[in-house]
Amino acid sequence: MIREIAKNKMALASAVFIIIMVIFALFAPLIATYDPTRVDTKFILSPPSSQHIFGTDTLGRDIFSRIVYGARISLSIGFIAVGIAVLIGIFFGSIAGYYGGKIDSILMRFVDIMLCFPTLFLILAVIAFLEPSIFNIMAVIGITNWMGVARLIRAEILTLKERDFVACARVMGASDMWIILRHLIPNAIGPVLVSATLGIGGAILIESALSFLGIGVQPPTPSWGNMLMDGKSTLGVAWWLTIFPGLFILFTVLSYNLLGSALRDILEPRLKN
Amino acid sequence: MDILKINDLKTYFHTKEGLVKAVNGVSFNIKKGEVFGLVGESGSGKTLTALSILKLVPPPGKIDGEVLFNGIDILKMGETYLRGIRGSKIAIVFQEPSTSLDPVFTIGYQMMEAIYAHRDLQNRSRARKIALEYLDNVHTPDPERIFHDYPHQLSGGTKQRVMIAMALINSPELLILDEPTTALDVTIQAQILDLLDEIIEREKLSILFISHDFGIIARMCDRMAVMHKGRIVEMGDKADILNDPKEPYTRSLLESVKALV
Repeated sequence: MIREIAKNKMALASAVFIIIMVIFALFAPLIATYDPTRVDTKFILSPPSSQHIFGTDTLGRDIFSRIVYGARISLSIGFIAVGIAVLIGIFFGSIAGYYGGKIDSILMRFVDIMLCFPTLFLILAVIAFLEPSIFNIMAVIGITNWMGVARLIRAEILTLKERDFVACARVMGASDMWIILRHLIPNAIGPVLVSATLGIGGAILIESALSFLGIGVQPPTPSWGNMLMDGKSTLGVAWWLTIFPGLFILFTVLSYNLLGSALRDILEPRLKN
Repeated sequence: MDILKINDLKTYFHTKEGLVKAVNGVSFNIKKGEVFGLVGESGSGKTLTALSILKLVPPPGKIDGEVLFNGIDILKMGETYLRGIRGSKIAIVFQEPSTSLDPVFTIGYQMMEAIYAHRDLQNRSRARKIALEYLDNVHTPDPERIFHDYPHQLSGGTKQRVMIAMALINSPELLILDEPTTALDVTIQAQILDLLDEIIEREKLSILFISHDFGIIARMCDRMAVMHKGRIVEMGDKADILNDPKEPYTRSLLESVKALV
């Protein structure tokens, strides 16, 4: 599969960009040029220069360093929120798909009900109610986005459970739980991988929106979204406060979308097998 | 001493279109160490009989009757008991080896899964040794390499050898073979039958051999039963059935094999 990603130029570029962002996130203390919360009154609102390659903000904090630390926040929220969504989705989807009948009907009606909620407003309401901690944001995004995964897993399992190797596993004495966990889910994971990749992009956008509105990641912790909020008031005089975080959000989400799309193309002929 | 005694086995399917009597009052017994053949055309209920023995018939099927395995009626026992028997005391090898294996795991992984399922063994290297030993017993070419291969990398004949190895790996008392060579070409078929001869000789297992091919049944089995539309029409020793078939259906089945020779 890695070979096939390499063949697709867009996918390769996206993967490389994502890897760079992951490196930013993991090695932030080594890559950032300054402490992201360090206030420096000598350099308030200075444009990009050799000392501050992306300029500084209203408190003299280095934008580049804040972008690097912001990658940590945005990426981890993206990964963990989608991780939560995938776990919940696999749980409900596999039980509904495997057992069928009444259990399937009840669970799928539950999925339909959850899909009726306008998720962004639901998230806004929940965050306004609870405190906007990073964990709450991850949890809320995860809990409102598992439905697609559930449907995907259920669809795969409905066909997979009729396959011969499942019957053979039963003949060898495997229990239902073993068959679901060790045979069905590993075979059904393809579409979920695509959905998860696209979902990370979506989660990053939601977090940015929340932080921009002020109810996401709270200052002084830098997140690409709350940097946009900071830049709003000085957009006319200091474009660098807004453009850089904006570009990073744009390219990161774009990369996840392109990578997800490429994965879908790669897995598609295999899905037909 | 009967290892398996089936009394009036009935497997009915309660469908919306009506009642389907797929297995309709089947009774036979298999003595310990014997190779028993079940012959019949497609749709006669042979495979369902095998699945019914292990209570593996999916709904809307319902099984009735007695299946005495070493004297115990296993149809009356619970799922946990049956899961303990499936794959360990009674094992089945099915017709289609290409689809019998999970495509996303290696052969070695799946063989070790069969070992872990029934043996109280936690040691990975011991399990690996046992798996390789069994792959060798069924004469797969290059067991070390096959251990790390995925199912799609192997030929049909090799996969069927792997399935036989997995069936034998927990030393079953009764081995059920459901059309094990039907999906293979004739030369491979001959090799697999030779392998089965060797295993029968070496392990002294009791075997239920299911096939639509009277020629194969005649070669492998000591006693046989002829099945038609869910019922057994004739049963007896190989010599009796082949030389003096009493039922017209048996006679026409034998005629169709002789016609090809």
